[in-house]
Amino acid sequence: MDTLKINNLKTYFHTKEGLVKAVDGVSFNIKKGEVFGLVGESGSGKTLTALSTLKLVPAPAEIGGEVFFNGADILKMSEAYLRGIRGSKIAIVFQEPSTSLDPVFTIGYQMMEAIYAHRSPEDRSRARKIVLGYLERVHMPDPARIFHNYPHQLSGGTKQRVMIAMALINSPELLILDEPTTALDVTIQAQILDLLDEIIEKEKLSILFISHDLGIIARMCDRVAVMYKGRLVEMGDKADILNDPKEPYTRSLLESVKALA
Amino acid sequence: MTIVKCENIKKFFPSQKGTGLVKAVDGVSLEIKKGRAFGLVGESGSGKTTLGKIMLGILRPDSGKVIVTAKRTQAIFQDPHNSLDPKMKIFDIISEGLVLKKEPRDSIIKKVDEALELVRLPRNALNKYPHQFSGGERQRIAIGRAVVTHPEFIVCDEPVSSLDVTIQLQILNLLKDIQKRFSITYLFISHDLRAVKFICDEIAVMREGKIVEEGVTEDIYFSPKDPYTRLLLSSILDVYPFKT
Repeated sequence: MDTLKINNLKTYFHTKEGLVKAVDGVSFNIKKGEVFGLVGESGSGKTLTALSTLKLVPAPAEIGGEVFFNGADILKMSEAYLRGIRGSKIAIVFQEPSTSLDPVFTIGYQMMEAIYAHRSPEDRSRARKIVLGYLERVHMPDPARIFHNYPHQLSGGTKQRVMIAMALINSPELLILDEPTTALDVTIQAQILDLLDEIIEKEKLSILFISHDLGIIARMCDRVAVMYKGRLVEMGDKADILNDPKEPYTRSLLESVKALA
Repeated sequence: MTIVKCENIKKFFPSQKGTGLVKAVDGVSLEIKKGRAFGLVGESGSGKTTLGKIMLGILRPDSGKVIVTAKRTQAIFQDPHNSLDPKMKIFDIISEGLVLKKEPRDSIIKKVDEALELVRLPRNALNKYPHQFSGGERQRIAIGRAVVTHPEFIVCDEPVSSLDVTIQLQILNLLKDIQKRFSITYLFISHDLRAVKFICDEIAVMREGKIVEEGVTEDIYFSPKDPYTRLLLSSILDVYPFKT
């Protein structure tokens, strides 16, 4: 059973310089409980693929193709219906936790908002307790203090833990991680990846893991697609792609990493 | 011969809350020999950039002594989007250091041409503006600007951190070639041990304003003594060889 199945996704922009095919006929599927890696360099279209999946690309972008989430085409859903899915059934964690969080509200307030937006009145009345539970879940040392903190009072790693807790709070079926550790120091990155390992193990989530870093993809993913200039140039099991790449682009990417290892 | 010598350098800043001091550099002593590539590795906030700025003379240490004997010093920074003036043409960017030294016009043109060839940019680049170039090309321009004055010492502060890995390798190869060919002394600052290992002869690992370990690259990389160095090394995610 596929949690996500994308057919021939196209995201085009009409610019002064002409048509830009940011995502140009991308197809892949993510099975239930699978961690699917999307790797590519900057500008390859990874993030736009993720945003298009949630129909979050602003006009005048043109999105074509099909994005099936549990069998229903997201691109055909109404805005109102989609709002019920985003942040609940499908959650996303972005690279930059400092810009993902609103600087003028406390962590607790922002996390409770996620509950108010999607949960039953019963759950809303115990929102605070749920939030504290999720902060504990991501191993926050002092949840009660973090609850009352503002984003600027927290380190980058702690903020990313908050983002992960917030993404999990409505029990999503699909979690999109868009370069979740790229802004962090390597030692903090290692901690966050450990946390993600633990979550993947426990929750059996389907995950779309986007990264420019083949090391992270190698550590985290089951299957991998390599994206280049809006297209998937190669896709397969992680071990096949990393040990025996067929495409020249994948090879050049791996050779660069190898030269630096 | 020593190009840079630091003796017990300290540099403190008032903390953001205004209540205390941030010990950005807290008693660092080191020596960089002529023609060597010296790596300074550490995570964000460890004080490596502050130390680099002190060696450049941009910041003055609170206490301690810095002796730089290099005749000409240059810098290459992380983000070529911010370090190149968007309103200047590439020719003006690269030649500025020579113009300031009042070199004759024909000598400037010759040296700019040589620098351009060295960083492998086409001649028609000279009449363009920074926004017309990719990140990697912009970093080539920044390197061209640095080498045009024939410096003896260059501080490279995270020169490849904002680049894609294939471009990183190109720029690192270029920096290495230039360093060897002209025996320029480098202070190479990076959070990435792999990049430092690729370029440097010696490495100092910095943490919270102090150097926790220092030595030749092979020793640091293959037999680290300090627990923090070990932690940094173990955080590197291997792709090759990939094992299932």
